[in-house]
Amino acid sequence: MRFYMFHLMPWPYLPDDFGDKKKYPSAWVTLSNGCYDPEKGNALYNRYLDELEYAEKLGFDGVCLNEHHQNTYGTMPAPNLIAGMLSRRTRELKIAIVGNGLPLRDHPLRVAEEIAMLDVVTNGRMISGFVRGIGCEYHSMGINPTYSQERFYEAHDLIIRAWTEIGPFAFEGKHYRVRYVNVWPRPLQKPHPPIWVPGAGSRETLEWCAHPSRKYPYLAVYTPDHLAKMFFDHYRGAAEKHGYQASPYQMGHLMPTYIADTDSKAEEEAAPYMSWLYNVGLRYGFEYVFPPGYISIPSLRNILKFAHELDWANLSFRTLVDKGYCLVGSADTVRKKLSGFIKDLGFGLVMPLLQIADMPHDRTMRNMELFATKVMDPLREEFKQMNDQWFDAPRY
Amino acid sequence: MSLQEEIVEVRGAKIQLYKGGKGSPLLYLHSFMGESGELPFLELLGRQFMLYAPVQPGFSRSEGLERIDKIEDMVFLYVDLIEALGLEQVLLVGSSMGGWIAAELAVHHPRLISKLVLIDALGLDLTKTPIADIFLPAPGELRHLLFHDHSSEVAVGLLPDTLSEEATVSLYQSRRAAARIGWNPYLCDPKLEQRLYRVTIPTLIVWGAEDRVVQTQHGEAYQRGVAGSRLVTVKEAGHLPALEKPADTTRLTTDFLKD
Repeated sequence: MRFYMFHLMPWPYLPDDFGDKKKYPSAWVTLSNGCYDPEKGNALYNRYLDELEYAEKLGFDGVCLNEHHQNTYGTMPAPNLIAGMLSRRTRELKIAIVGNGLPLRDHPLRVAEEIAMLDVVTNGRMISGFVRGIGCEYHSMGINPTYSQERFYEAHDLIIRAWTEIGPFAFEGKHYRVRYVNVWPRPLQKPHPPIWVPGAGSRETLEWCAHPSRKYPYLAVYTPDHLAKMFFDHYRGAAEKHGYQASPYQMGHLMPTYIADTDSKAEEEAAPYMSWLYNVGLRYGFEYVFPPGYISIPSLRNILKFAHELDWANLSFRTLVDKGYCLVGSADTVRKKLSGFIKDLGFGLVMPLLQIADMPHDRTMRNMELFATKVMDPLREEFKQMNDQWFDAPRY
Repeated sequence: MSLQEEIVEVRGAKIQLYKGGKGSPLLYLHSFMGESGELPFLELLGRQFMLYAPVQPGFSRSEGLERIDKIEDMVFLYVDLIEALGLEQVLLVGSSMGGWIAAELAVHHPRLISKLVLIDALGLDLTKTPIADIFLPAPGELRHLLFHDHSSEVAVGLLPDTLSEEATVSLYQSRRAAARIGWNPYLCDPKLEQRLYRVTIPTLIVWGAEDRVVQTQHGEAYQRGVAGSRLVTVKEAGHLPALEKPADTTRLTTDFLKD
């Protein structure tokens, strides 16, 4: 069992009438950066960094950072910078960037270089997630979404080769061509830093991750538990087709989590945070998140089938709790629920999101402490046999 | 008259084609909305000309989008299609995205075209009047952007506020095909304007007076760029005058082509 604390670094200071969806149809792309106040940002970034550093003291295995552009949901457009800040303020903590939006970069070798630098400085504490970026990002960065998938695969191949082959060598792709691939520094971890891939359930991606040449952990994000189970089952099925059994450490689940002394107090306090995260932070229209060509036509048809379940902006707090989009309750309740999820879904990477919306610093620290001492530590004990059983599998 | 649907193979890709009428061959290139088939505008043209209205790759059931990376791939496609149809020269009419392709075709291969009609053509990179974003708006918003009278039957029929699953897929497909060549640079070829001097054939530029996607300044720039061309506007029409005012648009087009 491994525990990675997620942090989004959200921007919670929005206009009072932000509830007006006609006036503010989206928290992404078109929401004016006039809403951003650098003075408040100074305090907020430093406070968020304190929280990430505190995760090491509490015994988390690592922290998760991610890349999103031009929105209020998460003000971390350059997660490698945040990783750089954490690299010298932590000693044991793994730093998982989940991930760098490969197709959004002009050149993937910049990602190869930056992650390799971090890996050398941190003595091999980096986990390198690769993503395509959500659809909104293609509007914000001017990158053609119809090439998103092929740029992702090609950039991935270039980075892996740059990390594992001694250079210089030539790379001739459709989107990237380099005469002299020869990345300095080389990463410290062998064969290269672990690759994690968060996703929204595309079968192509699940099967690509499960391929024996990769075995990349797949991370379910913001899904109700039955969808996460469907994704993981598909992953396990794909692994079996290749003749191997997928380890629980090949599956991760991001879950917004809030703990208070009692269930009713937790629900009362968590309601505005969870509602903000899903209804405000993830507010965008269909065209924002599915720009043309970002997904294939079969994937689009598939997504339209469960679109109502991933229409995050319109889910009630009750639904979010009851369907397993988030974990809310006393430490005892959260531990039991999480234990049940782990058993049912079979994942080994637990990724709680513990700072949400405008949750103040003291409450965030308490949420982290309660999770670490009353959920994480007992669950490590409870699932001890998982480590023994999968002793030879990569455990991150 | 009614149009016949057939499939033409162009270098291994199946292209849907609507065909009908008699007279001089006329090739119609549709907008990014992919209008084709039984449309009043096309039927009116079919009464005067031998009409060929292909469905562009990626729209409806036409194949070959994976070969289209840039506008020049579209030029090659239509040179190949004209050849595949056994035509030596065509009257060329293009609307919106089809107008952009038609202008490029005229720049590169003026001898294939006897006369050219550009209707609210995209393609020019005018920094003071940029082309409006067609990719971000929801269907209802797109309707407001495209039509002068957005409550008209044709407007609501094409883009209702709420789309069925099939219509959602179809609109997504259309915008995907447009994005392939027009995401960045945005629905234009920055070099097209300086190359318009290559168009030496008789050219008519037709513009919806109320076009909010690509404003009349673009029509004026085309008119300035193509020596001897004429610009006419269609009143009470937005970006798609062929759909919104089919009678007026056909009359202007036909008068010019028959002249």
